[in-house]
Amino acid sequence: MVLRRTTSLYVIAVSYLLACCLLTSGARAVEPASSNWLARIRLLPGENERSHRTIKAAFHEAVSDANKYTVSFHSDGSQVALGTIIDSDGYIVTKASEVQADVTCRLGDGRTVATKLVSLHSEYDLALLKVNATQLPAVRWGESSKLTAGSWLATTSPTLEPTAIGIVSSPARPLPKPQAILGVGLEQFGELTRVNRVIEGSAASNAGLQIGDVIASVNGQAMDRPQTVSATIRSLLPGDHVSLVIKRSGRSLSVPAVLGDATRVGNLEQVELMESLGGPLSKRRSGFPYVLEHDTVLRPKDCGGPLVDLDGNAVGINIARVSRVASYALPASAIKPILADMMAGKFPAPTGPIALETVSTGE
Amino acid sequence: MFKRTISLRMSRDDCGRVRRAHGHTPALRIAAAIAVACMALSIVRTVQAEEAQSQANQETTAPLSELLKGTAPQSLTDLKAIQTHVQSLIEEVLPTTVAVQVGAAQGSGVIISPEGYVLTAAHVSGEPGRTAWLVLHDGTRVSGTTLGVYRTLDAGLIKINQARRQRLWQHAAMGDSTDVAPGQWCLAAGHPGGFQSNRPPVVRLGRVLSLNDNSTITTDCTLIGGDSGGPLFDMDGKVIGVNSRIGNQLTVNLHVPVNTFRDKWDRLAQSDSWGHTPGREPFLGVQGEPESDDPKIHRVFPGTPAAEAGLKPGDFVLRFAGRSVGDFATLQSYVSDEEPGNRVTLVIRRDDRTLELQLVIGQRSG
Repeated sequence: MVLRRTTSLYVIAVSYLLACCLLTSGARAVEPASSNWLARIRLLPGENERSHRTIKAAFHEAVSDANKYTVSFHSDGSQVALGTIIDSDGYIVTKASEVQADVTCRLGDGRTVATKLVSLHSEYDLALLKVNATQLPAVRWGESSKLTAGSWLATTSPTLEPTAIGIVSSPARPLPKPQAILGVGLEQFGELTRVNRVIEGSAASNAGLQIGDVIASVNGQAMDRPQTVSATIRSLLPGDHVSLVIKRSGRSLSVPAVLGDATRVGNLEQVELMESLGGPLSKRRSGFPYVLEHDTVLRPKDCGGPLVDLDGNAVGINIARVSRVASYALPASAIKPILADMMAGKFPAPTGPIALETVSTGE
Repeated sequence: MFKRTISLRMSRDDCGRVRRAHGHTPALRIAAAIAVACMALSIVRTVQAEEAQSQANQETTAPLSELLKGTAPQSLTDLKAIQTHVQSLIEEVLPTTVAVQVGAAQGSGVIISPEGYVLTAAHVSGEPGRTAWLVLHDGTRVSGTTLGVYRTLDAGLIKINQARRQRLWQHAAMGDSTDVAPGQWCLAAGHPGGFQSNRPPVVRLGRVLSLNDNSTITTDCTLIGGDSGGPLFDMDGKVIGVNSRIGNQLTVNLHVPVNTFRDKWDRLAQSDSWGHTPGREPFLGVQGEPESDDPKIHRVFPGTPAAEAGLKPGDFVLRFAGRSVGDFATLQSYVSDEEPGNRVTLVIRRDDRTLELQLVIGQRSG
């Protein structure tokens, strides 16, 4: 038996929920070498895991240039994102929705400098920040179009140790446009449009819509047929606020609702529970026009920095932790023209104080 | 120890929702993801001599075969050797991975024979004799029929319906899961989140972390709903497992060992359906003497279906769901043929009376 031959120590794999009870029973089953041995095993990847330090160490050579154009952004003393220096005069790109207006930037040489937002591209969720520094090492782009599934990728950090490693799971592709959904079934009732079904957990049920409600208007626009409602909702985006006027028992009610994502209706709790098993996800993780899907395990605060191939060339910028199995990067080929436009002032940052967090595709 | 895991089936939302104008991706929802309790001891080896070795020969490249077995890569050269191998392996075997839809369940599968046998998870194919729709790597949609399901280990089989005779399907070979060892590299494929028309099967690279009594393989190839039934390949491109369920941690991704399919092939191919999904075992709540030759109930546990139906210690069960019961072991086997929630009629002898009791089969939770 393979199992007997190769093991000298059995350790209970701890699932977070059961950690407490396993700690006690595990202590009885296996005499711990030290009081915190179990904690250590949970924090450090095991020797056989892909992310063990011996595997990551093999990437040092690949990232030894790219780490120099990788920076980190901090707010209230904690890291909120990584960033990629795209111009030696202090222009740095990052994931817009993770950074506040007042973030500081830690450069590779250890300096912490203030940032100024100069450009914002909400569709790609990119922010271009300017720091007061010159002669910075700038990104060296690679050929993202040559990447095939199975290619190694390293997410760099400002140090020699990569943040994480992974492979291309699926070549770069356009993402379908996100589709908004209210979450109702509709029927024609004389001249009226009546709700005959409300999907549990949907925007409609959150807003308190009921079977039998007549939808009179959406955002001030009169709704004469079910098709008009569908078309109106389809023209909007998930997360958009809509204002409905409904008629219930002869009364007219104004009902605000926040539209949902059509790919995520149904038992949302179950979907989100499963997707987030294994760690937190980025707040903004959909709606990018073009992405490279990779299996690197990132935290939301690891996005915004370069994703490099084994030659140390940046093939993309990490833009979101999407699910338990996937992170998205914007491929170099797709964002180079966007970054050029941002540098040229085509997407000026809004003036006045702004929390970038509030920016979404829906606005 | 028991660990909570979640099976990876997704199901299609067919409620009367606002429809998309175009695009074929159906809205998805997880079908009652069953929290499954299962045994999963993970194994951590004590530090081996590998690290000392790595310091000794910094520049040496280990043979590729050793790297693929799990010897840590020590240089860019080693990583490139692994990369080249993995890239060509994916090109070779990814076309054998298919998307599977059976009723509301969406998952994945892998073609393993030229006649079109497809391995999948039992919780994807559901039961024998259903129509399965498969989407091949090139987008072609073909129909199939579900064959056997072995629910205990989550193994299911589908056969592609032959439109034309003689068509041979591109397939992967089945490996031998008893040869699998912790540390070796492996590749999981499937359709996480459900099939997307412009996305080929999605691959994840990881390593085998443990083998658990030949009932599951644990890897750090991350899985999620929609991956169920997809293949776990070894570095020769052979199928060594089938994606089944996950735990909380990123390192708890469980696969059905391929030898389950080998060992149960005849029953699966003959559309037999047996066993119970872990966590959904049927039970009554009685204790008897399995060695004895009478069907006498020795104990009835409070709050169980047996107690609710009015069974009492000392009762003899004569008939169970229309079948006569000779001894306690027979009663046990009849119970295991039921599903939780089934209503059955028991005929019992109590003292000198014969009584009929109605009972709803319960579910033994982990």
